[in-house]
This record gives sequence, C-alpha cells and structure tokens, in this order.
Amino acid sequence: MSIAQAQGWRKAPYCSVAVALLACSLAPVAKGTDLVPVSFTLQESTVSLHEPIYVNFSVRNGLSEAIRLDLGFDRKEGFRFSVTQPDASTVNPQPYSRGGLGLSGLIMIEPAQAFDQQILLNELYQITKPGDYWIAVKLATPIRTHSGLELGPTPWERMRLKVLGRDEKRLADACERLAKRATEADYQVARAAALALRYVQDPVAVPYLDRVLAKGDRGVKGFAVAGLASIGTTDAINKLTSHLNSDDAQLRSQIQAALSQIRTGVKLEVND
Amino acid sequence: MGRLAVVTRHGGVASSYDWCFCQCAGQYSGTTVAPGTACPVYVTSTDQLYAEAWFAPPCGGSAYYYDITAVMAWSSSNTGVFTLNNTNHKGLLTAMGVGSALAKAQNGPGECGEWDVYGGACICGFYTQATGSASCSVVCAVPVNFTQSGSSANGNGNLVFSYSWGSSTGVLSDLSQCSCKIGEQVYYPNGNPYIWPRPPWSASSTNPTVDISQSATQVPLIDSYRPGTMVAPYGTASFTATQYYAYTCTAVNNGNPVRVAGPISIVRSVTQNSDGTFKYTITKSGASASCLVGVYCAQ
Repeated sequence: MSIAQAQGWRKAPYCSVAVALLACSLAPVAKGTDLVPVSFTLQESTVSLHEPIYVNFSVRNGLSEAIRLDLGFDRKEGFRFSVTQPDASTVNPQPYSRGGLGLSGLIMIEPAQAFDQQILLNELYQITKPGDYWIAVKLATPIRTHSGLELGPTPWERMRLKVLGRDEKRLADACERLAKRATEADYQVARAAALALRYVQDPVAVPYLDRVLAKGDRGVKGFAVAGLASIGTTDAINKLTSHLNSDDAQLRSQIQAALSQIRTGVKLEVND
Repeated sequence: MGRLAVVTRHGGVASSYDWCFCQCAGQYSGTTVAPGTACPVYVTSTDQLYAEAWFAPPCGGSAYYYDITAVMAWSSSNTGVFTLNNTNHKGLLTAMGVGSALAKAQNGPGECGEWDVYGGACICGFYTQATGSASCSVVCAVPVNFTQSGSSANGNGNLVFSYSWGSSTGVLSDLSQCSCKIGEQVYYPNGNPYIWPRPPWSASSTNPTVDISQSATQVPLIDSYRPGTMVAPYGTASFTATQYYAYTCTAVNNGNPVRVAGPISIVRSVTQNSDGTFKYTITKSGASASCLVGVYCAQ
C-alpha cells in the first residue's frame, strides 16, 4: 500500500502534456494531497508585454514525518511547464537546463513546515505577443516521505495569464524596482532581481541593466551583461562598451564575449 | 613593583562563544572574531590568570595577583572595528567590522605596588597604575575545507558534481558577514569567446568563464557539465578546459578571488564508433559521462 493510499488520499489522474490541458483541468484533479498540498500561483495574473512573470510554488507538509522533493539542478530543473498561447497552440518549454553552478534541488520539509519558491517563467519561455495565455506547471518527480514512500504524482496546475500590450511606462516602473533591488538589497534578493531584469528583453531595460553594471555587486553583473547582449541594440552595445575599461577583469571578459556574441550571432553557452 | 594589568586570552574560551576564536596571545592581542558578533574577551572568575595585576602586601609577605578586569576602564581606538563594554561584562569585545584597532584598558592609581620602611614606618613606594593597550584584529569568516562530496552521470552526457565546505568560524551563516560568495573559474584553450571545435560542436563560451556568484552560506553546491550543442555532420575532436574553485569575501584579498581547489582538467572528446556513430565523453576528477551524439546527448 502506498503512503497515499494509507492516508486515504485521492489519486490524481495522470495528465499527459499531449492531452488537452483543458480536459485535464476539468477532471477532478486532486491538487497535491490533503496533507501535502502543492500549489502554483501566478504572482500577477495580468502583466504587460516583457514584464517578469513569477510563479509562486508552495508545498506544505501536514504529515507526521518529513517529506522530500527534488527540484533538480538549481531548484529549477524539476518543473515542467506547458503554455497554451492566445491562438490555442500549445508549447512545452524545455525544462531548465544549463551547465555551471547551482543549488542542490533536494529539499527536506519537516512536519508542519512549508517550502516556498518563486519561479521566473521568463527563464524558460519568452512571451512575445499580448493575449490570454494558460500556464500549466507541475513537478517532474513525485514527492516522497523521508522513509522513501512515494506520495503520487503532482497534477498540472493551470493558471490564466493576461498579457497586455507593451507599456513602456509600466515596464520602466518594473525595471526601476528590479534595478533598485539588484543594487541595494541583500545579496540573494539582489541576485534574483538582477536575473529577472536580465530577462526583460526590451530596450526599455537598457539603462537599468547599465545601472546594475555600474553599481551592482560583482556577483550580479554577469546577469546585466547577458541582458544587454540579449537586447543587442546600439544603445545596449554602447552601454556594454562603456564598461570595457572596468578594473574588474571578470567583467571585461564577460563583456568582450557578449560583444562577440552580438557581432557574430554565435550564442554563448554555459556548459561548465 | 606593580605590574601592568594585562589581559590575555587563550584559544577556545570555555563558553558558547567558542566559535569566536578569541585568541589573544599575550597583551590582549591577536583577537580574531567575525564581524558583527560579540565575543567575550572579558575575564571571568575562572580566568584569573589571564587578567591580573601584581600587588605587594604591606612591608613583607608574598606578592599576590589580583584580577582587575572589572575595575578597568575599557575603550576601543576604533569603534567601527570593535567596541568594548564598560558596564556589564566589562571588557566584552563586540566586533563591528573588519580591521584592527587598539583595545585599551586604564585605571587610576590603585593598590600599592611596593612598600618601603622608612624610619620604622611602612610607606608605599609607589601605587600601581594599570594601563595597557594591544592590537586586536577582526577578520572575515571564510570558506574552508572545500571538498568534492559526490558525482553522478547520466546517459545524456551530463556530469554532475557536488561540493561542500565549512566556515573558518565553524558557523556557516557567518559567511554572509563579509558577503562571501563561492564559484568557479574555467579557462578554455584560447580566445574569448572560446569557439568549441567545429565539427562536432556549435558552441562558444566566455573565456575564462568566471562565476563566483553563489552565496557561500548555501551548501552544497552543484556543478553541472553539459555536452554542448553539436550539429551534424559530426566529427571527432577533443579539448581540455582547466577549472579552479574560488571564493570572494569583502575585505579578503581586496575582494578578489581566493582559490580553494584546482587546477582540475575537464576533458571533452567526441570519438567515432565502429558503426560510424559518434560518442561524446567528458571526464573530470576521475568521473566521466558519455552519450551517443545526435541521439541521446542533451543539448
């Protein structure tokens, strides 16, 4: 008997990505379990084009023993997304995958404790058109108890996202908030903000990325370089070039490679 | 004669503050504490030998030592580095920031340091004046004992290592006090960006790839190695990258990286199988991962 059966949990029906998500969502899907609720919610259900889109992930442990979940490399690889676009077509973004350094995805949650995390959807999927989207997300691997019993698969969670047209004022306000956090907040918050700003792939973000390059912690400047390289406008190139005389050899190296990427179109990969 | 009151500490003060490493070697010097923490350098009743003044009894008898810590006036030459408590727990040093400063202890004339007999009378030759100062340093907690704690491979050619470390103070969270970060430096054979051999690859990397952006308080660290993008028609090639692990902490090495491991070779190769297909292999630190190019290798 599985722990789920032992606890009298409803067994969530399996929803393949290939199956229409709407049909899945109409089925009596158990969201996690009664004792280990798993939830995904959009931080903002309405955004303007190119704004960061955050998904709040939460797991609470109502069992009497600890539970384990594996979120994969850097606590991002273990999520699966499916996006239904305004034209009703569905795309399944590649799971987070890159080389280099990251956090361990193994999470232990003690009884009566919870784990919360924000996921930046823009890292996996870039929305390029306004309209109504459905974002579906699930954990790739089942949650287990500390003793190793599987709690059963977590179902897809579907969320409606309204993407408004490009709004420079709104986008600039969002960039201002992110740049402020990226240059003034505690390191972990600053790093998350710089990452989000890196994925605002809009010329509006250029001065804010430049501010992070000038005033940010050395650990977050790489995000600003990557962001400017992605935007790739003349303004972005000029900002990058203006930091080529930095005392920071690491930064100079990143900028040189980024400028080469813009010039040649050969994308830089992080494989180590 | 009277002696200058000195405060010395020995390593491993018997208290819950042991992690402070209060190692004041003689004359109240050499204190090593993490900034932002309080460290008891005051002297308790069990530590008489470490803060004492020498006094003489009136005209005869043996000299004796007396702990005068509690009656001293304590001060710091730079309260941005540390403060010294003058009320409860007199002499308690609280580290405020990285640097060195003088810890000063002073008291007015106290007991008699030497008695003399003049004309049959016992008079004091001089009174003790206990005054002293010594340099104390406040240093950053830094990562120590950086070790590989595991490795794994899968059929997609991904090679994964985990690394762990500790703090020089024994408390991992202390590594945030000087904003310590940990990461890697990877050097490729030539050029920036380094263009991976083509064929079989269609990839490039910033050279060197330096990523020292992970907060050092979060252990373990996972290091993942991917095959890189390959495009047909494939071919054979190999190259070696050289890797170092390093940390940065403000006020340590001027904020520049301090290496804790390396050089480590990362060897990638693509060879041809007897059936004409190609095999990707990556090897590092005795561990390896392989995959069939174009079929199973992760992109």
